[in-house]
Amino acid sequence: MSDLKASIAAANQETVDRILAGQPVWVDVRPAIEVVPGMTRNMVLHSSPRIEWGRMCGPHRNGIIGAVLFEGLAQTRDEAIHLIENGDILIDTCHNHDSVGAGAGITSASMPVVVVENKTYGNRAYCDVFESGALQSLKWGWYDEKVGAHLHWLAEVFAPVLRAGIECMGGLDVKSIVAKAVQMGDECHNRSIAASSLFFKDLMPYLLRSQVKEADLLQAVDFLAKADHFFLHVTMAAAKAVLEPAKDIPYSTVVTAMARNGVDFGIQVSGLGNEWFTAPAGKVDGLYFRSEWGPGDAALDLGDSCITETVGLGGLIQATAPTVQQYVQGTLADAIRNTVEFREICVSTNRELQLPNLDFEGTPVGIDIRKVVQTGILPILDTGITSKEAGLIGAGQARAPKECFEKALRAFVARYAQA
Amino acid sequence: MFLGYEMEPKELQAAVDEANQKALGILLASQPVWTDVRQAIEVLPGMTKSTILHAGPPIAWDRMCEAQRNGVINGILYERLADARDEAIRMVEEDKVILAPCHDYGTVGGMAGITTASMPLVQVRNERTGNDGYSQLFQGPDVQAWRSEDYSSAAVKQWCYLEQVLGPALQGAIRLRGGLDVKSLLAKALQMGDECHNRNVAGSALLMREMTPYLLRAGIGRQMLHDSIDYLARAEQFCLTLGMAAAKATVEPAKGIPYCTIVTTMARNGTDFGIKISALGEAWFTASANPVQGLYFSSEWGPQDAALDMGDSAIMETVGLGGMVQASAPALQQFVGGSFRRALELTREMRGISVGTNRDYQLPNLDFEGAPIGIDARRVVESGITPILDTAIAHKAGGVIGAGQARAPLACFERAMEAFSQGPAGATGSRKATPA
Repeated sequence: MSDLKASIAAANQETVDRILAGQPVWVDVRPAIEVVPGMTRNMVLHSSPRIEWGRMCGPHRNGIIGAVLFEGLAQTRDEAIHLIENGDILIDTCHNHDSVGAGAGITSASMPVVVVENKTYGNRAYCDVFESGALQSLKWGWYDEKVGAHLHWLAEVFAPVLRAGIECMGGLDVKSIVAKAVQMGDECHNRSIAASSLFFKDLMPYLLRSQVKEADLLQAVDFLAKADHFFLHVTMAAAKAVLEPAKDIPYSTVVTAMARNGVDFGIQVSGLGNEWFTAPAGKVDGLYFRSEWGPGDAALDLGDSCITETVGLGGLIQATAPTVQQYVQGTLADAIRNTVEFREICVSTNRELQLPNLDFEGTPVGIDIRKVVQTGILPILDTGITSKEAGLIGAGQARAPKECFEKALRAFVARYAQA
Repeated sequence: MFLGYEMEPKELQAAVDEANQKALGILLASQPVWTDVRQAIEVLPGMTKSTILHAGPPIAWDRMCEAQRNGVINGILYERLADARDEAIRMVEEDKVILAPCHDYGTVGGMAGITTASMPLVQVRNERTGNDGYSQLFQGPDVQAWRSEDYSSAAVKQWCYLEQVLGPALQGAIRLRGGLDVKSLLAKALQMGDECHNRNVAGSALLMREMTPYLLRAGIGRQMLHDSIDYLARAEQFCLTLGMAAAKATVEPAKGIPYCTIVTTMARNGTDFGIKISALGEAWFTASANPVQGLYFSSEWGPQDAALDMGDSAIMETVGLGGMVQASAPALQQFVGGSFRRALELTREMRGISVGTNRDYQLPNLDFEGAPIGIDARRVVESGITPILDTAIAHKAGGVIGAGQARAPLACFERAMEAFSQGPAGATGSRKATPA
């Protein structure tokens, strides 16, 4: 083995070891302004990569305008747009603030975030709290009075109750919930019903003992009882917390982030630090929730939620969630083939997450950009389909574009092979 | 064969096929809804203060396995019919208590199946046909309690908890909710790795999400609420209670259809395995219960400690769940050193002895094919393939010590078909306990 190959092999092993050693514990729920590093009152975060206002897709533009209105920074859409164009609103990505956001990823100062601490390395990561199952939500770029009122309830009533419950629990071990859910048909991206239900079960005894007003408790429980996707946001924060310490390992070709903003798809690679390597975002294939909706209405692939695939969940383990195949008219055989195929582009296997219908084999972990480029096997991302203006209109899957892996590999070669 | 029928064999087969389709239609149309929690004495026809119901076919005291005998004694103590074990045993021997199968009183009971007058039962109504099925809230003391060497007092304590806390709490909640559709609950659970007999972790978690908002509003005291929530948060098998009552409510209207060879009951008492088939109504056909193959929860336990196959929970397989749909729950293969392939093969094998498939219960691992339903005793006898049952393993003296699988014995199906062949008037099965 050449020196370079040996260096890469050792670095990749180190990267995966760090990912696997992560112990994500959900420790808190707080308004973003209190905990998200660098957050300010006039800042709005969105899903990565960074993109200038003029190139943004509809859900991002509308979502940011919505957040400006929600925060009371402007009274009208026009005023909000004026402030944004004037540079009075700081716009940045969630990833740049140790955070991830579902869909358009819209996160502003007073919105509550899930705080997950990686106990092994002491770092923390954040994700917006599950907003609701409604198709018209801010996370899909939709903002109106109803959405605003719900966001206020979420921030002022729900989040404090949730925080009290998590505090009373003394934190929640995210990995153990995810490991159980993976054995219950969740791939933990497009399907989180098992994780959400198990969490509900674990939380409830503590929630009853926390000192919250009964009326608030009842409202919070009613919300959680119906929130099938609730835990996705916790999984996302955990994935971000686990991937962060795996960054900046020289010679590592392992992907440490994948994200898309509806225009660009970007990846980060451990050996290449925080630089994003981008390519045009792909289309999402899938099922539209109403017959009048179709590909012509859809935004391109968007959201930070593919942090789940980055850590080896979601589309990388479709085998465990045949129900998700129903969005793309796939079969169990397709799902199993996809999962088996992803072993070829990953460095290792996560024995803590076992796939029942693959006889409890572990899940693939550590996407290697070299292997992606060599094999042409592109990670599948399970995902929602967003309207090109705003709102959720379907669910399905997309492939990560090959070009960003190629760009990253060229940069890697420039940095390490030609040094 | 079929000497008792005044028709050509072909004609008879056609009559059987038609009858089986009719029964299948009844099973498929079932709409089980959890409606209430009631005390056994209030709702079970013929129940008395001194009746002790047990799992499986009828059995005389002297043939009962030790676990069930202990259960009967504990039941007598719990009802305060006696103050001491000796006294309880004497009451049984002097026929001062009535021993009878749960199944013959409209209810079902897991494991030993001990059901007495004061016990709370879940009531599940088959909205299609209007009949009710019941099951005790059977969660016995856990493995640790069994080790405390005082299983008897632990069991009585647990039953008191169910009667005084969980039963009333759930009653308040389910009444407030106005019922809960059990079929859609189980359908979801089947898509989450439950087969709804040995694995109910998804169903139980979903159920807790469904019920908690109502428990909070049921006006029960704070302590009762906390105790109930704590219990449900730990009870991974709780959903089986509803599944069993729903299954019982589902099979009842499919009984007594002339010429119908579909199995309407499978149950075991740790000594005998018994079945009923539709055409022969309430007659039991029995054979020796099999040992259960599986995994013991502690290395100190082994086959020498285990009771034979026991419990009414095989009602789940009778309606096409549990062992019939192992494809849905590969996790259970770990109890028997099996594989995902084996789980798929078993479900396919079970199709071979079943009359239909249930589109309401879809199996993700078989590309959403429906679950097999309607076990045909004819096909069992012809093929020699008997239903496979997922089940817990009971200790000889009582308490759960493992989990695994058992096959139904072929002989009870042969006996049922032999009786069937005697003609419409020839039902020779027994409603009484098999003599020693």
